[in-house]
Amino acid sequence: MLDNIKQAVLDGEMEKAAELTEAAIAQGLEARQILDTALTPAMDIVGEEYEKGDRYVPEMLISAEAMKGAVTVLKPLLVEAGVKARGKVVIGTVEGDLHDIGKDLVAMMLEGAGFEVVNLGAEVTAEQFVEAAKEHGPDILGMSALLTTTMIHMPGVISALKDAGLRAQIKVMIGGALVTQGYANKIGADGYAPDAASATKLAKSLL
Amino acid sequence: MKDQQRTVRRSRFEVLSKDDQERIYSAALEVLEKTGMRLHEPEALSLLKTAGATVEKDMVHFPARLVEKALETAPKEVLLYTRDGQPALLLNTGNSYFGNGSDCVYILDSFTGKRRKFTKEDVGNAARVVDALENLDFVMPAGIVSDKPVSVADVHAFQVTTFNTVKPVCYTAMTRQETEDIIDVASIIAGGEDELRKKPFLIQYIETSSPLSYSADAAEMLLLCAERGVPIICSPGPIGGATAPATLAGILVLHFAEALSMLVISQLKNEGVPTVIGGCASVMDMKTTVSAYAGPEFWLLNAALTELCHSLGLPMFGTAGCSDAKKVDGQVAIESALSAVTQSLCGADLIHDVGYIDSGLTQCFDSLVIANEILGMVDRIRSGIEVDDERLAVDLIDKVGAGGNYLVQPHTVKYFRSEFWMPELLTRESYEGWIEGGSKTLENRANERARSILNDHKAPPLGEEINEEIFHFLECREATL
Repeated sequence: MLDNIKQAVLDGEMEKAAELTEAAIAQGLEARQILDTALTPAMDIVGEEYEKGDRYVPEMLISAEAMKGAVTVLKPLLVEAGVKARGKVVIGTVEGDLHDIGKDLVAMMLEGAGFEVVNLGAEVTAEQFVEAAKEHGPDILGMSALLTTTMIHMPGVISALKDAGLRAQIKVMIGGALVTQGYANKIGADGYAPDAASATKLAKSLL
Repeated sequence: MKDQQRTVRRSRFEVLSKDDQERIYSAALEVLEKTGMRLHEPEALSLLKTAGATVEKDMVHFPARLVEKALETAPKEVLLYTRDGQPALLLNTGNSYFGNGSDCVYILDSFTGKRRKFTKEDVGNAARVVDALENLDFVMPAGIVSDKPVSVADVHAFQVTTFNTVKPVCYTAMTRQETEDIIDVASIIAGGEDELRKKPFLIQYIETSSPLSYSADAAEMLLLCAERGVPIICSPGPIGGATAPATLAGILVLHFAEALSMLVISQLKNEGVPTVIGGCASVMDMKTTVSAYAGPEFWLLNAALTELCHSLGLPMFGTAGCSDAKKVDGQVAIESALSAVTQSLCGADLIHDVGYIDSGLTQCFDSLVIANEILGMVDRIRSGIEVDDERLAVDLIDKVGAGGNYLVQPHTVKYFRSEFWMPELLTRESYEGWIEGGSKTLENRANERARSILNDHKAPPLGEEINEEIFHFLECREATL
């Protein structure tokens, strides 16, 4: 059963992964066991295959989606058992910016790596970021911007977090085509990643 | 190796109209009849005379009907096998197959970066590199072996090539004797001469001496290959402005006339012997006098020749992936890419000289590795854009709607690998990722792959018994020198 769940995740079959997970629970398997011996190992393999170049982004994401399907089934049980996700990330594209494909890519990759992700979408204002931070209590806040004209909203979000007294417990990571490590340093973000795969690595290292 | 029936050519490059093709063909026939070819070889002269050609001293005038007859008997499809007897290259079916070039004087050493004379070991290494590169389909003995006696140098080059790759071999020879020796060596590998005839893994490249002449060796080799059923490439090499007119149309007339004369002789000797025509039409650089291996007129000429061959139903031996640059640089990339794309898109069947630099004098493995990457792209271009309901994706576009994305759609997972070409050697890294990876240029990465193949790649061996028999053959041969 666990092998089948693992395989469904590797094959990127979301419905099958969810159904098999339900069946496994019905058979009396523990949520934690399913997570630790089927889902997480499957995503580890996916990550390795991506690193080696055997698997490409869509094949990784579709596995991440399948993993998410199974985790949705497990979630109430995991909460009950006190099992926490690897970390929680609130993510969004900043105010005035409609571009969200890069940010969505990061969100999906983070989920695949075992993070719980709250995706706020595009055109997210500083106030909305702060509200979401209060509501979800994330470990990391991720911001994306494509344009030089919208990048300038990033420091405003960081100030707003400070003003709300949340900055100390939340790491801030930023990304986008024109964003650089230098800009991250300048505005006092905790990290910058040039692409989705390195964003996942960065998020792990920030915890 | 590519599947025999591999890709459909959807994208096209065409340079001659039907009318142009007919005019060039008629002009070539006129040259063959009116001016004729100079030829001394007695057997060829007698064959031609008997068949109805007019022979005046050493000039042979070919009536058009001899060409027409040869076109009837020459096989329309030619199948070449691997060294191990597997069907590999099916010519004249719309596929383009690529191979390196032969007979370089120098090798640009991938370890030292220095240019030096070719040794037998280098020829073996070239075959190993071709064996390892996925987009190369056939091999040519890459260099002139400088460390063996001249009269058997090509035999050694052939032997060491077959020991280092399973891919079909397009070889050259200097003399009838060498040709005979090479066919004997090939027969040992194939398990006998009959087996070799049935499943040829070799094809001999023979040239005329433009304008309109045969060397005694060329005529003898042509007859011998025909007699022994070895597939032949009839490949004149006129140089526009020097050994051919300076007009591209004139070069084509001369080139085509010479190639057709070779076709006639080979078919007269042995009706049905597999023949491929074409070769390398070029121009002389009027500043340096070099016969250029690249340039717009080079690519136009070889595309036009392909159309001419195909208009007569014959497979074409093309030229691409080669450069006049002296080392691996931007020029190599420009010239290799443009030639490969034009030759492939016009549908040349066997395309040689991939990886040549310095106008064909130098073989460079780094350049061959870069060309291999180019050929991957070219293959994708030539297979074009497939349009059907599922690929039009109207339902999917409707499902995703406005906003949203296509990243995790099963449709994306199903199609991206076949629709998108994936680079192996070219970088698409982020700037940071590129710095982290050592800031390597294309030249650095090509050199790394060439070195890694040279250090690690091994072709499947032939087997001890065959090796010994061939070494024994070579020893006996050399004892007679």
